[in-house]
Amino acid sequence: MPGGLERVAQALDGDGGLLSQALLADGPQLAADDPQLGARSASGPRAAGSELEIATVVEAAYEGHLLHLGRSRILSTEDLDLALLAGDRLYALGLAGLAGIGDVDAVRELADVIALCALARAQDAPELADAAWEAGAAAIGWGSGPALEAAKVAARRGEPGAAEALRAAARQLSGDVAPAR
Amino acid sequence: MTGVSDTDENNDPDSDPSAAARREADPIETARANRTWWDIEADDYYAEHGSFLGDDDFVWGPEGLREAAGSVPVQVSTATGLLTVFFSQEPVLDYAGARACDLERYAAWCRQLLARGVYPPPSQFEAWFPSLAHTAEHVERTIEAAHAAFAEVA
Repeated sequence: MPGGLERVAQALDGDGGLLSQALLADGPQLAADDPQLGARSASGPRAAGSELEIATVVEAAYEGHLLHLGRSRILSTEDLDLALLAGDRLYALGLAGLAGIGDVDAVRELADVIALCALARAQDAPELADAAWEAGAAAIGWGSGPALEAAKVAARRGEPGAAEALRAAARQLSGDVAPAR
Repeated sequence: MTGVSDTDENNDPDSDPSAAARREADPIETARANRTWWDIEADDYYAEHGSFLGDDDFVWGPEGLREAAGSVPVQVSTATGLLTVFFSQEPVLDYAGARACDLERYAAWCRQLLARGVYPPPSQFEAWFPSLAHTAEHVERTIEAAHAAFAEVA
């Protein structure tokens, strides 16, 4: 059975048109350090019964984020304008998928991640964006909590240490009590 | 231009309203009558609306769009939860249409919005994602900033 990212590529292929034509011929290309966010969200209790759908929408939105940085795991980024367009298409696909599942809280978490990523981009702080994704994936799988909400506020205020606070909140939510890696 | 004026008998409170009549009035008499009305009302009108009335331009519609802002040709494409403002004379229906837009003017407009505290999608190839996180105040501030930004890039 295809994973979340493969299903995203299939959805674009099914739409046809320019984005379908821009799909990588050899299928998804994952780097060794790919965070596997879809699988992470899908392993949480909130995803029970909708694991594949959750994995797909999280991977769609994360792929949208990468496309805004001119990177992709499933599409050619030769045309950067098209990459931006594809990025917003995938954001919309992810948010619509969560809304279709009926998970309004997850829509909020994903919207917060996207907004924090825009902030991180404006501040040229890629580590903040990575941390926001880690935290968002945990919140979608396990639900949010006070530590995560406080970390988001800190990030919006531009406070130092916000990225680490987001990562710590993500570990706490998912029950990972191992020391920070 | 020829106007009309109530006849003298219509000013008689005892007259029968159903019998109201009008008479022809020449342009000079019409202008004089209108001028008197405007002179009486002008101060009140300016007191009520003067804060947004310009000295030499128009304000259109309930949105308060000024003449300069209204001269910028744009197309707004929407889907549920999404919108994009395209700087184009023609409707934008596909990628080729988006590429044909005035990309420099869009970028300049975005910079004007940013200078006013509104952070829009910086590329013509992206969409706005309005959501429940945006309050009525946010929307109002965005509209005000957009008006000013349109005027700057006109």
